Amino acid sequence: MSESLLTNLANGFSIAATPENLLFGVVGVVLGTAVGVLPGLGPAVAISLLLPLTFGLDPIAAFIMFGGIYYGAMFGGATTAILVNTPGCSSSAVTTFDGHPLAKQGRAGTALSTAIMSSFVGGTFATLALMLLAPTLVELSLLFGPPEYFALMLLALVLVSTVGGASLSKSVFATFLGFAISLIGIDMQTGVSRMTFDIPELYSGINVVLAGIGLFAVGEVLWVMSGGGAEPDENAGVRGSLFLTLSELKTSAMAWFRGTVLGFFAGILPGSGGTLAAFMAYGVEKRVSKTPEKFGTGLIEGVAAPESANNAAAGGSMVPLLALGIPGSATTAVMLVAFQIYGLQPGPLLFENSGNLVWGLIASLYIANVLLVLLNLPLVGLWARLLTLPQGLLYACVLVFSSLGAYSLKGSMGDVFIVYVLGLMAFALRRFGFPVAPVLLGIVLGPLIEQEFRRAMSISGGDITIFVTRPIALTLFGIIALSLIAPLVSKSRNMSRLGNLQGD
Amino acid sequence: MFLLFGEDMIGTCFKSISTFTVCVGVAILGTSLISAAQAQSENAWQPEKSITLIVPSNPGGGWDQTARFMQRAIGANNLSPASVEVINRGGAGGTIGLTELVERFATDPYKLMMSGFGMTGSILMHSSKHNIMSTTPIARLTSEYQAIAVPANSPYYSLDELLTAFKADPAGFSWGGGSAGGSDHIFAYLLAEALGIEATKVNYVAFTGGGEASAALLGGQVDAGISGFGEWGGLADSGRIRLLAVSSDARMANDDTPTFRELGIDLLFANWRAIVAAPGITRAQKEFYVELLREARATQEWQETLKRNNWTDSFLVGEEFDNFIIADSARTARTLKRVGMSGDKGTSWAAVGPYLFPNIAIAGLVIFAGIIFWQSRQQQTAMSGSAPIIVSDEKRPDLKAFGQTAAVIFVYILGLNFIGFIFVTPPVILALSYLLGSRAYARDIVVGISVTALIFIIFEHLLNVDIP
Repeated sequence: MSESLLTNLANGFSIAATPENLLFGVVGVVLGTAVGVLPGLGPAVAISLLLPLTFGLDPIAAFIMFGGIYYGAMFGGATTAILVNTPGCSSSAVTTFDGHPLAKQGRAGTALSTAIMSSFVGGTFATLALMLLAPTLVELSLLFGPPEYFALMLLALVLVSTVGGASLSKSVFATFLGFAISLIGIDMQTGVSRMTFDIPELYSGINVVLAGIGLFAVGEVLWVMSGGGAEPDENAGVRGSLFLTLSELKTSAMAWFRGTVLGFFAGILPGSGGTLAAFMAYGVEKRVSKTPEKFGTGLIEGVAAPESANNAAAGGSMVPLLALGIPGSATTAVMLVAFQIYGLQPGPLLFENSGNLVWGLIASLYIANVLLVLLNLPLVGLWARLLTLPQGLLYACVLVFSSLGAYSLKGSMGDVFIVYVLGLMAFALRRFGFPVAPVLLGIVLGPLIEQEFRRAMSISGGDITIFVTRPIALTLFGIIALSLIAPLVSKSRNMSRLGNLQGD
Repeated sequence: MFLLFGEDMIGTCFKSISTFTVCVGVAILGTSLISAAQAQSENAWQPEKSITLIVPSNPGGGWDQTARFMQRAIGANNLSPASVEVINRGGAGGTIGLTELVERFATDPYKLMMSGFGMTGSILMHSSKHNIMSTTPIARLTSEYQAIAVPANSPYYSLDELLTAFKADPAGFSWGGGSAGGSDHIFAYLLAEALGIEATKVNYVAFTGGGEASAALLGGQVDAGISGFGEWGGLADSGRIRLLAVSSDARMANDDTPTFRELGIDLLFANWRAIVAAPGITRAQKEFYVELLREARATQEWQETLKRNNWTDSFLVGEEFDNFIIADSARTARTLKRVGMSGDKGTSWAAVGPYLFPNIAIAGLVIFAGIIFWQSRQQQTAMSGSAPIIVSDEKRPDLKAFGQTAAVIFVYILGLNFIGFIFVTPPVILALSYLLGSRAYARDIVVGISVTALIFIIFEHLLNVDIP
């Protein structure tokens, strides 16, 4: 078995690693990084734009390019998140929490290197898991129905609830705000339009991409322009080593491990995706940390965990695509079309019918990952130097790119307007000491929680016990209960210990 | 209310047809006066720049696939003097793209759009101002038939067994498919009606796209799944699901799934996909596109596409196509009206209605706003009211600077809308830079102009993303 696996993989590499294919890989990574940096443009858009250009190509050349775009975009989003606190993709929103403080301390180079290494680790191990475990994992994921998803999303919410850093009540308020925003638009179950005030621009709802641009990019521009941001050091970008110290590498290694596993599984489950994976990885990292209070001030693991998670999620989302022909994200939906254009039918029979191509694809995912490191690591210094640009010009460009990014989604000025309204909202929240990240969390999780709950209730015919009569769902609810109680218990134990000490 | 709407819609359709006939009449009269050869050279229209094919949904769905395969068939055979580009304008079941085509590109001959059955449902449900007849229909390309599937371990082996269970307890029998108002959903209603079951009792669970619905069916989460025949392809071949019936009038090629008609249920249903153009294009322009699609249909690439996706070639143009659209829209309108699912009223059966969660969200906001207010009052009294509350550990923003920035941004939005990106961006960059204390005007102007030029080149020419 393992021998044939190696032969297959070697075969795959021999198909994929031709000079011409490598060139397409390089093009993919560069382009992916570029669209990742630009707010609004994501890998799905980039791949569908490139699709017509690849019609004449060998399928493997196209796949290696798509793999490069997918992984490149995940990393590209982190670059701007770290440098200017404006994530280029919504999946990098979490990276701003510790990445930007690092940049402010003059350690932008370190943060960027961490992001690259994390992306590499997450992507490589996800590809490995994809290769070894895809058929088994996909059966496992099918056990997850609406009740299990609902429980899982609640668990994610509980794990991540502490992300904001500010007071708990303000975090919860911000989460509810995001939740309310996410419900705007046409309801998927019934087709009723909710909270749209008869404005057609709101029918399709406020999606995660618009929310990411508005809350983070526009919000940040307004904040900095109003003198709210701390003045960065004159040579902020270039101070300090670009690379990680040994001890930083050690802390990162554990964050990579947890982030990769979590991200990969989040990626397998259709519909959740990289943003949720990043949030969860950060939440878990903070929970297991000995110094949770330092999160948000510039911790390496605060960058390592979400960045490895979102790239691992990209790999994970390939599992249902290849094994069942089921796309779990916008990007894999476009890749499915690409497969079909090349005459491949992803699904249970893909490995049997077009084995060579699948192994070529898996090999090209590895190659794309290596190219990502080789191309971007030397550029870290250059990226970091962006910070030495005059602030006014830098943020003016962020604003221009944000507007264009919002516009390019549907070609509608309505979306640009929505983005600015969200930006004003983010500004107001920050002005009164509310955290902004939970709003995005609410927007990501809100629709999932709602739709899964209602689907589960429909399936059970309105019987709410469906949530406790299914073993996986019940287990997940048990974990939720534990993670809610655990901090209270440890707190009260600390209190009583404190009491004892005072008693002595 | 609905009846009015339906009549209004059909009325509009007829009106536009009669306008069209008048136009045609005038055109024929005009050409008959000139010599035939001359008319040929004057009337033949050729595109001079690239043609944009708008997909009114997000990447990956049926329209997207059809558009990209068509783009390939045209491109690979050099059928068009100008290239075809595909862009996605998703939202509201395609009505956002429809509105854009009819209003913004009203007379633009370089804009085509995918349309079809999927749009009829959403036009009715979202009370769209426009319908498919508001555009210039070019050609119907494909029909995809709906098939009912059950997972391999399902107790149902025939449609009969499945329908017996469905009839016995309609609300307890769950159907999985794409989002509300789409072809899967409407098909579930048509099936129920054909069986004499009240459509409002159908327990339909909507998933985000076919992929998630397939996963739910495979995992046995729903009792049966509804999707396009072609979309089940790989899963059916591998034996993970069983197809029980298909909505075509004859069996599909190389497949032994029976049709509904064979099984004694009078149900014919096709999810058709078509290409339409802007309402105000000339007759010559319409002719060009009809011919282009006719040629594309004959290509080997297109025929292979049809075969691979199990799409049925249902090419239809001209008046027959117009009549088909009107008749098909009317049937959908009748069904949706019967189940009370039009004009934002929603379906009748849902275990949890659409307003529970918005209410929870708003209640949560109110409660926590109260708690936060109470906490800050507590804090204030604790601080004996003298010191101002520290609201944030970050530097407090300067409201004057904020006002200035907001004003610049407001002007920018207006400028983008009315003047255009190229002219409004450099001054805005200059203004924002000035507000942050820069006085190096020459440098800022140079940077502003070069950034704008760079973006223009990248977006317009490399990425093909249009800018305002």
